[in-house]
Amino acid sequence: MLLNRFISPLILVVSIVIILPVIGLAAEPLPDLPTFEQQKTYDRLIRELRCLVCKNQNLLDSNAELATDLRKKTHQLVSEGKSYEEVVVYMTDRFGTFVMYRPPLMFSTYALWSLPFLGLLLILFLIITRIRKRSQSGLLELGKNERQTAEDLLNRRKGDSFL
Amino acid sequence: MNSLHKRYKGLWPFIIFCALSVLLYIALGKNPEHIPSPLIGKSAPEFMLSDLENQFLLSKKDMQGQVWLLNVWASWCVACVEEHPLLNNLSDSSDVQIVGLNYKDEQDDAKKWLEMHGNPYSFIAVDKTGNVGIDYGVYGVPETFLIDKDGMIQYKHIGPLTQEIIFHQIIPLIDLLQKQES
Repeated sequence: MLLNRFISPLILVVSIVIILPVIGLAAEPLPDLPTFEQQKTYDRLIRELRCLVCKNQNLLDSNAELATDLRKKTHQLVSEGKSYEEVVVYMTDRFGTFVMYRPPLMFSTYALWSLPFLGLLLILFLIITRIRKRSQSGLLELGKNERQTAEDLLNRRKGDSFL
Repeated sequence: MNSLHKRYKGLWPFIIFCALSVLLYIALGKNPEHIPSPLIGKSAPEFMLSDLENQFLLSKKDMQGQVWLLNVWASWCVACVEEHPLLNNLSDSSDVQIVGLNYKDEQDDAKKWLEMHGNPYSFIAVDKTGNVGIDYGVYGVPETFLIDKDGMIQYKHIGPLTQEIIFHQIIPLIDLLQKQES
């Protein structure tokens, strides 16, 4: 028990020490940009631009060399006064639209962008037809025998009330 | 009509399953690494870089009026070793100029590497920072660009070249482009 008290913090400290150098490696920080707006643009860009050599990571997450270079390039372009759109054009001119995490709306991406809406429409259509069907059936479509049974039951209730 | 519709109603999930299977099967055969370059058909980006011996500056204009290959390589690049004999052969057997873009490399390492593996390049431009690489949209070394007499990029290959690509795509395209007037 007493031993445990000392051992668990020790394990914690040792693991932190082991992990520290790895944390230190993650993406060396670039100097802050002169204006708040520029910093915001830069932060948005490195979240939305894809690191092309690492599957499914953006520039912010990746520590690959290309990602570091592209972060630097983005930083440089923004600090030169380029807008969000201008940097996006710069990148897509060189690397294609694949460099964007959010694919732009264009001929080859129509299906991609319209599918969710088409799916929604389909579901709405199915729900509406089902509701209509249900309201059309119900009491009106009772068969002859069913109607008789129902009337018998109702009559019996009336009879019951005499008791 | 209505009864027919009812009878096959249960088949819908199966039909959707089949359609999805076909779609996924087609996608399986595609190479996800193959990203079409927006640079094809466009003018090759300008550059001004020193050569490997630091003796002169090399720019895109120096190649004006010629059909040339720009091969992006580095001594740290493992796949470059694979394609290098093919480039050596190509430079021996064809009169096309091969320009090497030494990408993010140490010059001494690059020289040693060429001594070991042979030098197919007419010129070597040193891109130590990788800035020219970014302009050419380089992300997977080796990469090879075929540029025509007017300085337009006509073809791009990402990854190591193969015998088949050189014989069936690059050489025929070089022959075609060399016949064109600039």
